[in-house]
Amino acid sequence: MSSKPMNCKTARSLFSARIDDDLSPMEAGSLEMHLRDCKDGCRDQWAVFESTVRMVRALPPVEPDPSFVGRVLDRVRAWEAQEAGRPVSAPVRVPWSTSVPVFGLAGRLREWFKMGDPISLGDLGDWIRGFAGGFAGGLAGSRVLVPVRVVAAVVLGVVGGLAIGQQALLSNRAAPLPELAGRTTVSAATVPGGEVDRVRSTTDAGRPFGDLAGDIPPVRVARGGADSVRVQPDDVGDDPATYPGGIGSRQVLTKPGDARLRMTNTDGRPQFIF
Amino acid sequence: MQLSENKVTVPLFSGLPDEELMEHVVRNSEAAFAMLVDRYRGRIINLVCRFINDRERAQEIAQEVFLRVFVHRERYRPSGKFSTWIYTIAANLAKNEIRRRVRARGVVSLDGLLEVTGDSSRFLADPGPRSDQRVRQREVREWVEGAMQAIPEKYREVIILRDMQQLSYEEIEQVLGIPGGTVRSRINRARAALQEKLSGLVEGGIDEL
Repeated sequence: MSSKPMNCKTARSLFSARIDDDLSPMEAGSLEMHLRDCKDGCRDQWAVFESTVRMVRALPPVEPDPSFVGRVLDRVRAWEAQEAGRPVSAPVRVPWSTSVPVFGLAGRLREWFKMGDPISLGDLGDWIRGFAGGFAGGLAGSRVLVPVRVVAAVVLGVVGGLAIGQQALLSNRAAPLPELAGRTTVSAATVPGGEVDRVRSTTDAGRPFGDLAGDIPPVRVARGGADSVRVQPDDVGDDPATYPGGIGSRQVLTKPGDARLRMTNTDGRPQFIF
Repeated sequence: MQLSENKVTVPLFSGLPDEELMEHVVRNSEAAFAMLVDRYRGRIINLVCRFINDRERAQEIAQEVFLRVFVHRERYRPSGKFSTWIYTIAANLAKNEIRRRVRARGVVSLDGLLEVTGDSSRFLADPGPRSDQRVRQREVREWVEGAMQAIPEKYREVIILRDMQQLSYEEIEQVLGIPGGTVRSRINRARAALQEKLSGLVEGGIDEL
């Protein structure tokens, strides 16, 4: 079997592999034959190529500084000392004093979501102010890099706030919501001596709190008007009537002239008080 | 206690391969680390120096290479060769240095790159006749070093790794993270580019260093 003679272009493309001894036996043989027989200067080209690589390989090495190892070890020790003085993890200390507003307001936010009531601009402002307080506390209370502090403060503020909100919600099973109880005036579109057909409540601060209409169990009122009603003492007691939206019962805890209506869910959890 | 230079070589570690030394380094053995530094300092300094053509700065960058080896010692995987790992770190730091210099000077042209990586005037000027053998050797060496800086970085790095550091094709693959076929073709082109730059010297018969 006879192989095709190698041309000059192919031969010169194999110079690099030849100098690295990276040719197959067949390639090496063909190249040797070509270099022996070539009349177009491939032998000279090979000589130039080989000299070039030899010159590069013969460049004298740079001598390391005699104190090189010691300097490296000094740098390593300096790094270790620096690391020893730095906290292993990145603790973010968020002072409770500044974070409590965040947690409390986040908990209230959760309550609002639960009740489906709209959030007023005032509520939102409270929450933002509380969040800002917690956020600033997170920044001031940590020793880590600023970006880490920012992220940690945000995450801790929100997550912690929701956690505290959950805690507050659970605790409310046993205790009424003090900030809402007894501070609300019931106002309804009603008629004197008639029945309440709509209960729209606001807190003392004027915050919308509840708006019930439709299937409201009968509540007798002493007098009525466009802006307020007063519930009679004989309404005190449990009423098994079912409210729309999951409200299981109502209990009027009132005395003449002071409306306090407490409603609970079917599981006994306070839904709201006004 | 600070180790002095002549206390670095600890007989316990002197016969261990690099990978086993690294196991001791991971366990915070300073002596094992010093042994590795001693073993690789020449190679790393030369590698960096050939990249940036600056001997003083090469010493500093080489120190940084070893510091990173120690700092990131737990990232080293014993399944791989230590030499390719440290060469990868060194090559990356050297290339970063070149880019930093280019950025610092706002250089974008080839001439500008030569200026920040080497003395282009020596490469571009005719060496001229010199009778003194040592002077001529130094001149030729400077020509070769200038030619190294005159070829593209991707060619220079394979020449450094293959012809100066004697890495195998497979090791170069790992250090540079490129396929074997690319390594071979790039070495081929790099040598051709160098041959072109040095053709005047070689064809003139000045090929000794």
